Amino acid sequence: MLILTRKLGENIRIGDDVKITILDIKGGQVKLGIEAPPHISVHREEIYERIREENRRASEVPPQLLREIAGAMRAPKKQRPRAH
Amino acid sequence: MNVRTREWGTLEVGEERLVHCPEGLLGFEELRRFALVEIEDCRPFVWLVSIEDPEVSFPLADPRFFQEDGYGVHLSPTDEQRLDLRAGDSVAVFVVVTIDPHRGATANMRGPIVLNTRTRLARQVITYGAGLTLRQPIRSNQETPIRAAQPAATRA
Repeated sequence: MLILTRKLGENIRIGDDVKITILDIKGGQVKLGIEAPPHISVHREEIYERIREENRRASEVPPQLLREIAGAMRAPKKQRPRAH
Repeated sequence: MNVRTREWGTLEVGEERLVHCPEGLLGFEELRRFALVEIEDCRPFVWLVSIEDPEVSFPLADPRFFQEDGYGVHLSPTDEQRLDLRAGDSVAVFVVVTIDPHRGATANMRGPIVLNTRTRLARQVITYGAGLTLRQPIRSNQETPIRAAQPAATRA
């Protein structure tokens, strides 16, 4: 891992196209500005972990439970009087 | 082709139902080949069944069940390239469904699976949007979210 120390307002370049600017440092938080071309996706690491977790949970859905929910969705909905 | 599954035994799946995820899904990167299977009593959900591992399948849904006001996915140039998306191609968008003990079926609106229906290439993309959550309950005309009854003691 490359470790660099930067001050407020300074930048890091990754390749020719990606520029990261230190915009703000407050307490334990750093605000970064990221300029990158559209083909480079930039996401917080947590979103990958959360989607991974949802995928794992999805792979463990018991088909029997889903069947019950699906059955309830297909059931004809009761007509309710509507206020005007 | 025949696809072995733990839940439904061996399924006969037509070529038009096959899905190729060259990068896998997050957390399941090693699985690349899937079949999109409709099981009669699971409608309107469909199952993305791994061809390589009979133990793995994912329930998917049409995002419109979860997002009343419509649902848009922005595809990056990389997404388009990976899907081999060309003018005139159409894409199908699915959301991955899980079951939350309190909210019933929920869908991950932040990580939809996008399928190019011509090439059968698919990719899980990350989306942002106001109000999109990883566990969006099913929208319904009913007052409360649809919940499953208590899990049956025995599996059918």
